This record gives sequence, structure tokens and C-alpha cells, in this order.
Amino acid sequence: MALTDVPAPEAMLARRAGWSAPSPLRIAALLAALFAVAPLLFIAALAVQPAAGASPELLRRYAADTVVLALGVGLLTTALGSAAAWLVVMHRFPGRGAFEWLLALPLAAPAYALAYAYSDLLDVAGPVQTALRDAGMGGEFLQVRSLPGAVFVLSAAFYPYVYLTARAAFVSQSVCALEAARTLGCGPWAAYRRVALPLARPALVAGAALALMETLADYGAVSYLGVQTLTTGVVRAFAAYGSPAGAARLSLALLAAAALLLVLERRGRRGQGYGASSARWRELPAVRLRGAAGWGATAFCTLLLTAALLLPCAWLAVKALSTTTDAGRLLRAGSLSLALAIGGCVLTTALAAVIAFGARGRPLPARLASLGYATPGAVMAIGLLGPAALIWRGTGAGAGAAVALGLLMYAYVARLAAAALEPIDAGLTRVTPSMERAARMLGESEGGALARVHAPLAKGAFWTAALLVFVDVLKELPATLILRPFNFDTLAVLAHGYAADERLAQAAWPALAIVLLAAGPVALLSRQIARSRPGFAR
Amino acid sequence: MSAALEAREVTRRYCAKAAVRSASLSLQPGEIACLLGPSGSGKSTLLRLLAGLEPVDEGEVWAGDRRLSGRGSLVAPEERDIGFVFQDYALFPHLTVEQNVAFGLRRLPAPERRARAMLQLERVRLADRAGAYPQALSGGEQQRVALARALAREPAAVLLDEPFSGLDMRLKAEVRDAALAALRAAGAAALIVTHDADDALLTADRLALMDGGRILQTGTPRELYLRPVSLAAAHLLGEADALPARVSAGVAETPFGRAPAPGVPDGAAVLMARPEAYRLGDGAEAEVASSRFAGGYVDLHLSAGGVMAHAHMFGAVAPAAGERVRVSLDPTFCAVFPA
Repeated sequence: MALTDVPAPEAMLARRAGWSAPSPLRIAALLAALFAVAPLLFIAALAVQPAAGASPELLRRYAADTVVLALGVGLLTTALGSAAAWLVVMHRFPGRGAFEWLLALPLAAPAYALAYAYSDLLDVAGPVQTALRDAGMGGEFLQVRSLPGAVFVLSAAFYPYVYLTARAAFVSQSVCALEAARTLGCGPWAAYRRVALPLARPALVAGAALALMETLADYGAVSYLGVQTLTTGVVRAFAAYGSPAGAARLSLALLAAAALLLVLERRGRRGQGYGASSARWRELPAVRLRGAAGWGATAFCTLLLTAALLLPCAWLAVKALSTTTDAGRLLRAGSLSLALAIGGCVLTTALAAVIAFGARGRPLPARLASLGYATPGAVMAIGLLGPAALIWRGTGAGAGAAVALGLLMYAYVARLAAAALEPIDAGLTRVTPSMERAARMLGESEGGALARVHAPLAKGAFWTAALLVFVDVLKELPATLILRPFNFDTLAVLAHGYAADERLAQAAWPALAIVLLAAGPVALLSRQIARSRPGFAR
Repeated sequence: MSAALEAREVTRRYCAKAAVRSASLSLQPGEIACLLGPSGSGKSTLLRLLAGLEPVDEGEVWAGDRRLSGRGSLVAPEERDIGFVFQDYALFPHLTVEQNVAFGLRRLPAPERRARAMLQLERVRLADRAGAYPQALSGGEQQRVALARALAREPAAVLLDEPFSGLDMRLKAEVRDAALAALRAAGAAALIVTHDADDALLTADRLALMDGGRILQTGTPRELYLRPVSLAAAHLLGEADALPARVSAGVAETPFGRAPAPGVPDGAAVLMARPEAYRLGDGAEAEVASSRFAGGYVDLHLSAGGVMAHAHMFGAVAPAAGERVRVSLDPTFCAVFPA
């Protein structure tokens, strides 16, 4: 993810020219990266077999809905995320400081939780439509179980990706460029439109690409809202038609779309790097919004936060409190989710560290790993079924649960290694090439230099990476659904199961538990990202 | 006596372009040497080859009777017993000044480690900043910490890459003197890379001139300033006029006077004259094209026979622009090359 990425182009260039002896660490990094993309090879192998559940007609229908959904979410997240970032970075208004990090908080709420809450809240029998009918107005347009409804729900869930990248771009823009624009006759608005926005455009594209990757990967929300995307198709081909080959075929289409997004995101990030290279770090000149304008800005941010987090969570809480739940089952699922999240975050961060340390200044392993991130969880799971079948055949059913658990971990690590790699890599740009050489000249081996210079300097970045992975594993649904051992319910699986049975009040309990467990780490992350500004020590 | 560090005809290429070509250089124990050249001349690359931060493509690097680099072989930088001061100092921001200096002393027991670090810090007069973090130090202080850190392991040789380039003029002289004192106190051989001729002349026991990846000349600062092997070498170390001359019977004749040219064949030649070479008094007639008072000397541009010369004249009386004067050449500051 490019959320915490503050590249230093000069350091990267210099690194490339530096010490070049081959080392075991470099080889380990390449292997670790290959580990992340191996499942994709199985997908390709599976896809050429005869398949059910993936006829051209089905593929076209899935693809059409996916494209419309992606366009809608792309536009809405970009508009909401960039507007919020622009307000927060370049203006002063009541509550700005709190909103700066609060606006990223909706990352804690999985999209399917929002889907449950809104579809119930705005249901024909729900409180809103009932009230509208009582007032003599029709409310049919509020139907959330529709394509526009899915666009709204996913945009609310994923706008923080755009918000965070746009915020980083606005914050790191060169004050000099803005001031130069002012001396050349631009007013504040013209300077924004003609200088700040074009400079930030690559970052906006990168943020939107991240939001779209999540949109492609989402299964829980769209399947609940009855929208048939490629990802729901993958799961259905596998689960309903029992056709891994069909699932693989649909996966290939998804992978192509994801790869395109990845290219967009990388190009956007490169543009960001140029913007930062010429900057001088000074306090950005902020416009103080007075009176109505200031309260308008506050209202906008409040509304966004309410729609994306507060309202759906409050409604879920109301629903949850209207029933009692099987506390034992919830607790078991909670501890499973927690264990998986912690295990996943330790393993993933370790793997990302191997890649980051071993591939310092060499982009190939990181690029391979990022392919894993662009891969939707359902696709990753299908890719792992091939090796799973081989292992099951070899070991017999007794080892089944352990193997499934191992594969599930594999899926998490492969999918999230790139997300963890990003902040670690950014943290390592604090280590200049000559610092590493200085450690070598002072008698340290390569490994010693990593342990005594790189690791302590990138400590904060490791925490960021671990938190990101923790939250993502906690929310993960489709891969868990496909790969989990029998009777192995995480909070996400539990919520999905209840919701599929239309027991929404029961689904609210695990969904809220996820939000609560994720809220702490997300708040920590968000505050850390909000405080860091390139050019200053973190 | 065997050299503390020696490059023997080393070559280093990047993408078929040689950054260092067949360069030889030796550093004697206890000696302070400077490697002077314009930017892009390959001097920093040569330094990294000596340090083992890069492998050599051809040639060898030796320390005493130990071979450090050769074709296909490379002693790792951490095993070379060489200190290195980086241009950007490369201090570790997460460690205090004292921890930075003690970084390379991990094999020593803690009390001794601390004592060694403090001794080095005292030598660079920074003992009172031992607990500070590098970010809190001025540029000159950071430079001294970097030097103390490199010297703490008591290496046989220290390599310094443009150590004074980031400092402003007034600070520079002070930092340079402090660095020299610390290097002398440590007794290590030191090789300082610089592009500043004044730095090099003031600092070095011995000097090597580098351009285009080649070593042009080595010797004492005095030899190099007064007896350059070529015009190119002369220009590297300071200003020099190239006056057209005719040599006959070992004497070179120029519009500004004559100077001995031993061993130069008769015919057309070039006489290299430093600004200090011109003397007022008897001799050839010249016109003063411009005259500016520069404090310690008078900066003159002279014209004779259609040739311009740049002179620094010392003395209370200065000729004014337009005046006609008689000048001669001091052979100490001149050298003659065949054309």
C-alpha cells in the first residue's frame, strides 16, 4: 500500500550504484517474493482445464457489473477522499486536527459490516423507509441491495485509501512551488487548481487504484447486496458448481484487471516521488475558514465519518442489543480471529522484512510481491487449492486441518506481504547508502549492519506494517471462507454465515467485534501517519 | 618500508566506461596524503576501491604484504582495518555521539569501549557532547564525530571523502586544523579526497593529482605546484598562464621575459607561469590592462605582444590600468613544456 510511502529518489539511485556482491540474503529475498506469487501459477494451470460455472455468458455478466461497480466506486472514492484531504491539509476549521486522523478510521470497519447495516437500515421494512412512508413519500430509491447501493457502501468503506494517499501528497508538496505560483499571479484557488492538484494527480490515481483493488477483492459486501461481480463468481464457481477450473478462469480475468490497477498505482507513485524531491520543508500555508465556511467544512467531515463508520456501527449495535448471542461461539471465533491476525502479522512482517532487507534498492522482488497484493483473496485461495489437493492426497485426511490452516496462513502472507513491505521500504529510506557503508567500514558484516543500523531505524515502520497486516487479516473473508478447515469460524466467517441466513442481529455481534478489535490498531496507524511528515524525523 | 595502503594499476569500469584507469597510488604509514581532482575525475571511486566498497576490475589493492583486492577477489570492507569518513558523514541518527564513536568497538569490553570512544571524542574536543544525538550537532561537529568514529578502531589507514566540502569558509579552516591534529595524534595514514586545491596544498604531506580516471602526478605540494608534469596538472593545482614561447639553447623567450628551459628541445614551446611568477622592474615592456586591489596583493592583467597574463604583485605601489611597465619572470614559478 502506498499509504505510508515517502520515497527518497536520491537515496534509491545511490543505493543502486553501491555494494553489489551477491549475498544469501538477496537470494532469500527473491525466494520470498516468488513464494508470494506461486499460487498465481496454479491458477494459470487450472484455467486451461474444462470448466463449469464460467461460461462466456456468465463471464460477460460478471465483468459488466464489476466494471460499473469499479467505475462508480473509483469516482466516488476519489471525490470524497481528495476533498476531505484537501480540506484537512490546506485549511483550518473547527475540529480539523481530530478529523485529520479520524477520517482514516473507517478502515477498521469491513465493507460487509457496512453492507449489513445499510441494507437493514434502509430496507423496505426498516426505520427510514417506514418513516418516509408515514410522511407520505416513497423511499424505493433507497434500495441498497442494488448496484448503486453497492457503489455507495464500498465507497464509504474504501474512501480512506484515497484520503490517505491524497493527504500524503498534499502534505509533501513543495511550498516553494505553491509560493512561486503565488508570485506569478495565481490566487490561492488558482494555485491549488494549476499547481497543487496536477502535482497530486498521480497520488490520487494511486489511491483510487488501491480502492479499486479492494473493490475487486471484496466478496462479503457485494455477495450480501446481491451484486454479481467476478469475485462472487469465483467463489460461486468453486462453492456452488464445485469447479475450481471455472473459478480459475474467472480469476484470470480478475488478475488482468488487478494487474492493470497495479501498473496505474506504481506509475502514480513514481509521480509522487518527483514532487517530493524538489521540496523544501516548511509549514504549509493554511487558509483559515471562518464562519459558515468553517462550519461547512466541519459538517462535511462529520457527515463523511458518520456515513462511513458511526451510523452503520450504531445501527449494528442497536440490532445486536435487541438479541442475545451465543457468547461462547463469539468468543471462540474472536480468539481464532485474533490468533490468525497475530500469526499472520508476525509471519507476513517477517517475510516482508526479508524482502526489504535482501532487496535493498533492487525492485524486482518487491514488484513480484506487489502482484500478490493486487490478487483478490478469493483468487489467492483458488490458487492454493491445487497444492492443497496434492498435499491432502499425500498425507490423508488426518492432517487435513493442519494443512488447511497452513494454506490459510500462506494465503494471508502471500496476499499481504506487499502491504507490509511498503512501509518497511519507506522506513529504510532513512538509512542512507553511506550509513550502511559506514557500518561495514566499522567492522560490521552485512547482517550486523542490518541488525544494528537498519532495523533500529526502521522500527516504527515495522510497527506500521504489522498493524496494517493485523487489521487486514482480521477483516479478511473470501480466502478464509474457501481455505478454512471444517468448523473453523473466524469472526468474519461467523458474520457472513449469519448474514447469509438473514439473521442480521446475530451477524451484528461478530461484525462489531471486528470493528472494535481493528479500531485500536487503525487509530494508532492513522495517528502515526498523520503525524509523520517527510523531511522530519518520524 | 611497505605501504600502509597501495593501489597498483587499478581500473574500475561502469558500463564499459572506465571511472578509474590504471591508477597507482601508495600511502605510507603516518602520512597524510591528498587526492585532488575535479568532480567526475574518479577520485571518489578510487577511494571506494581502496576501501573495498567496490571490487576492482583490474589491478590490485595491497595493505603491507596483504592483498585486499584483485581480479575476482575481494576482502570485505569490514575486514580491511581501514577507516572511512563519508562526505555526508553517515552518522547513525538513532545513536548518541558516544554510541556512534563506539559502534565499531563491539569486541571490546564495555568499560574499555567507553574509554576508547571518550579518548577519540576528547581528541576532537567533543567530549562534552557525548550524550547528544547527531541531529543536534552543527555541521563541523558532525564532521569531527565522523572522524572520531573512523579513528576509534585505530585503523592502519583512514580514507576521507571530501571531508570539508559541506562546511562554510570560516568553519572550514578550523575544522580542517582540528581534523589534521586528530589524524596526527592517531598516527594513522590518511588519504583525503578533495576538489579544493587550497585544502590540498595546506593539508597534504604528499599530493596526487587525478583527472579523467588517471593519476597525473604525485609528489609534495611544493613539487606539484612549481614543477607540474603538464599544463593539465598545473591547472589542477591553481591558476597558471600558458604563455607562447620559443626555446633556444635551453632558454625560453616569451613576451613577458625569459626563463630557463633545461632539456626542452629548441623551437615552439609553452611556458607555464603561476600568478606569482611576474616581477616589476627591468625586462620586457607590458601594458597594464586592469589593476585591482585584492588586500594582500594587487591583481593585475598584463598585455604584451598580443598575449594576456594574470599576475599577483606584492608591494605597496601598484601600477594603474593603462600604465606601461617593465616585467620579468621568476623561474621558480615557471615551467616549460614542448608545444
